[in-house]
Amino acid sequence: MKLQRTVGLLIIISLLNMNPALGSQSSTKEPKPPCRLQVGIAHLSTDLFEKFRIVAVKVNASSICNVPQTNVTITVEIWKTGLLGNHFVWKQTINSLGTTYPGSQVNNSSTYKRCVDKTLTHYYGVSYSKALIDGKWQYARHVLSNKIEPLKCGT
Amino acid sequence: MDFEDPDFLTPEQKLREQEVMARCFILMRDERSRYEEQAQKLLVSEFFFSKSGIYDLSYLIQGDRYICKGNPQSSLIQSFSIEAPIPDTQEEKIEALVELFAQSEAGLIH
Repeated sequence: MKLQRTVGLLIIISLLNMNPALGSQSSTKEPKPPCRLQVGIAHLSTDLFEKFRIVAVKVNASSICNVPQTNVTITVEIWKTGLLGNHFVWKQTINSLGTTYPGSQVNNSSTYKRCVDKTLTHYYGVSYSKALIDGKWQYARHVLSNKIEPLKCGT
Repeated sequence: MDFEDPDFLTPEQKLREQEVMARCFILMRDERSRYEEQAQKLLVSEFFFSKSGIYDLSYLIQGDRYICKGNPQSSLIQSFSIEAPIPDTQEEKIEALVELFAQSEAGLIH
């Protein structure tokens, strides 16, 4: 009787291991996405203030993939918070037609908006991207800055 | 790369950032009258086209946004687009376009 129970248990265990749907909780892992998109915190670009008396709010984003990709498009949006909802400030999309090799980084570092005064304003960035990987379009969902930053920058 | 680092930029990229942004601010100052003329044309016809260096630049008004599309004459170079909200007052409308024209002519920060 004990032997029958043991054999039965072994059969069930082996079936669970063979069928991925049944055994998914125990052994399978979510595949890692091939690309990682990250967006920085909105910040003031003050390097040119002494020369031009101009300050700008800026957000950078960066994408890195572990597979070759082509037609990489990265969009960065700058937003500010407001009493009656958030306000769109500026958006820039860059599109690189060539092939980007695994491990190399593609940046969108060109999204900035000049400050018109020193009004304290809360800014954040949003970024999304797409690329052709293995002949198929792959989309990276919207990523937000992990902090909303108060900056002395009215736009 | 680090989420806490708002820049993600290498020292070389930081230099390039300063160059491009300085060019943009110089253009806003030195080309202001040309940009104001272009802005008037764009506001009337809702479309404006110009060439700057390696880029063909198309400007249009779509809904509540200004849009600029920069297409390079070579496929090896990045193309870009910029979108900006259309402000309420005439003065602000012109000012936003002056910045849009200057940014699109200043080029990308690589």
